[in-house]
Amino acid sequence: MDGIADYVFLRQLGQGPHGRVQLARTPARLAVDDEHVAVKVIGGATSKDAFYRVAQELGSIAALRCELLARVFDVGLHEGTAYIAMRYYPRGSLVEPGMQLSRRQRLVAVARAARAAHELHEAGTVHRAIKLSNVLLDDAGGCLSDPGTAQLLKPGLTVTGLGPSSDMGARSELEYVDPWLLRGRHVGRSSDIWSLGVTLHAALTGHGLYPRMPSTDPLVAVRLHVKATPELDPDLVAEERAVIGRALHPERSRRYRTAAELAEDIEALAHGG
Amino acid sequence: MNSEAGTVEPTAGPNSDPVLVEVHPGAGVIDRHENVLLVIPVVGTHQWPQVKELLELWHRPGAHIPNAQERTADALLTAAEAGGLPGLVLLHGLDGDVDVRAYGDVEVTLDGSDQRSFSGTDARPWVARRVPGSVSILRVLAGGAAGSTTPGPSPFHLEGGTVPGSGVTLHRAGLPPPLSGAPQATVARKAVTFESVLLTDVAEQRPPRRPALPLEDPADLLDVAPEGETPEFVDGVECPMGHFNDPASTNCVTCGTALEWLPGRTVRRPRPPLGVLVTDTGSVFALTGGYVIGRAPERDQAVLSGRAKALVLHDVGQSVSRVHAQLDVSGWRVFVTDRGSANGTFISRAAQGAPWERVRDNPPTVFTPGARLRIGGRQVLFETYREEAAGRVGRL
Ligand SMILES: Nc1ncnc2c1ncn2[C@@H]1O[C@H](COP(=O)(O)OP(=O)(O)OP(=O)(O)O)[C@@H](O)[C@H]1O
Ligand SMILES: [Mg+2]
Ligand SMILES: [Zn+2]
Repeated sequence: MDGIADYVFLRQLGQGPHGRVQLARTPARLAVDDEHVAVKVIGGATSKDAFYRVAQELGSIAALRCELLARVFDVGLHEGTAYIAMRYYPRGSLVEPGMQLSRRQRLVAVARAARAAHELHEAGTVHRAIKLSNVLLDDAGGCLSDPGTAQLLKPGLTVTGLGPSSDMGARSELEYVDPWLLRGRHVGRSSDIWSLGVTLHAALTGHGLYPRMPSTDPLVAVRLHVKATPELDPDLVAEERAVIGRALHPERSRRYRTAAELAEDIEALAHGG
Repeated sequence: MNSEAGTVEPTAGPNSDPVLVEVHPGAGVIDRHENVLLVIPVVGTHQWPQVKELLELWHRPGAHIPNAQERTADALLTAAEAGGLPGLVLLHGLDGDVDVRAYGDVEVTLDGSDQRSFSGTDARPWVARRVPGSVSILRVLAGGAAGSTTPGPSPFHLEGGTVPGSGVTLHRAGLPPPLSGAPQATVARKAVTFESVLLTDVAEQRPPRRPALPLEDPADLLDVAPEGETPEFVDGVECPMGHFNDPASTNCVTCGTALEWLPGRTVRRPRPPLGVLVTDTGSVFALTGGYVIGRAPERDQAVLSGRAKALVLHDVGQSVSRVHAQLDVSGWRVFVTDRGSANGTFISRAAQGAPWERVRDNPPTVFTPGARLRIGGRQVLFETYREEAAGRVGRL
């Protein structure tokens, strides 16, 4: 069995674009009650500079002490490999929840993620990586995890490499990215609001907004993706379409002004339906 | 935040490993990831850069997932073949039938029998063998004189990660290592040193809170430079909606309205991003300023001084130079120069199948939207999604 630093891995919880997430026993030095923690091992080498940037950023997010954000305990660098140790959420994420979820539970989880994003925005931070797999399930109904650190590891980076063989992965990673970012525009509240809209659509319908990608060549994929128009599932009811449509408005200025306003509308959907 | 460096002696986990990977001391490299093992018994001083790069490829996320293993192994061996790499052995599936691939001057011995040993030089470009699960001891050492003496028992067993070593002996089927005469060694693990920033007690020193993000997102009209970047001001024209454009554009890049450019109607504003760079693995970088592109561009002067950002392109075949090419943004244009790379930088100006032209430094080559750069074995595309991009190419 593997490990990193003083974490001994018990089993793999999942794999994402930046590395693997492993279940580990909690080292005593963390001084937390949880028996287990989830450790994300960042693939590839991380320089000290990049590590300090990530640690700094995660430190200021942890200082918000926001209950809506997944808790990070420890960030480390071991022989050039960075890791992030966080609370283990046994019920998993909205991608593959460890239990059957009702429509209402799914909506509550996305609404809480939207509120979490708002807290980050009010603290001057853009999340950059809101998606189903980063909405983790807890007793309170859900929380938002993994504020994007890719940008801190590689300045200028907008989308992390889609990988050579992951046409499915490529598709879904790209979908969550505000098309304005692929045109070179900067991140802001509105780009996170776009990602929340895609997350909401996926949580309600179980699928994405774009047709299957005809090409797996990333150079072609990015170009085609930006020219494609997202299409909402025809089975959505009018109220749902209205909320998603406003979060995904092609003009940034006509989207929800804040993630909190979006959260309110998602909560209304949860309690209405 | 509490920053500390820890040295911890981890305790053995409950899962007793059915396969023991005994590492023999030495200056090569052994890398284990669960049931996948890479053994490079000898590394010459000049070979370290290549070996480092090879390990990077090996450690890429996903490199070990079953169907990617095959591809990664092929990539490694192709890179080895391309030259400059020391002999190496790849072992997949340590606890059953083992797929062994041996390249170069390396020796694999099965159950201590000379008759059953083989060398990476037995076939070209490499030797691929399936070793059955019935073989209980499998040893990998350097070939020739370097590996001729059988190493003594080592107390050091590799559970995972990268360590120095001159070879390995695999003890399978739960057999204890055969310690002829030597006292029974217990499974020892090396001490682990790491750096850690604990976030469990951050509340005590609240870092200064950043101001909230602007409410009225200005991105549709005016782009603000990302934090830490000073915006460059450029002359441009505004469409009737107020979108800011290159005076050479015929239509607004945001809304498509035709632009009637009248001299003297230009305004000076921060330059918006000119588009994005898309790499052939699908990474997207915002084109807001210069980039140094290469295998290891981080320590280049232009990056250190903050004039350009680093865009790392990995390539095992060493076809990408450490500092290979540079993009400079001036006004509304992007220029590309080759930075004295070994293999040159090439540009293809139109979408599909246009010929590759070598990038010249004098005069600098203009990098236009829709064009691709070939940098060693990798490609980078300049994408803008401007409807009239094709029309603009001729005008630059
Ligand atoms: N703290 C956690 N507790 C339980 N499971 C987790 C935890 N963090 C991640 N996982 C699981 O691991 C999987 C991969 O997570 P990971 O964060 O690496 O990828 P991602 O969320 O797709 O991308 P990103 O790197 O942007 O967060 C998730 O889908 C989730 O199922
Ligand atoms: Mg995640
Ligand atoms: Zn316009």
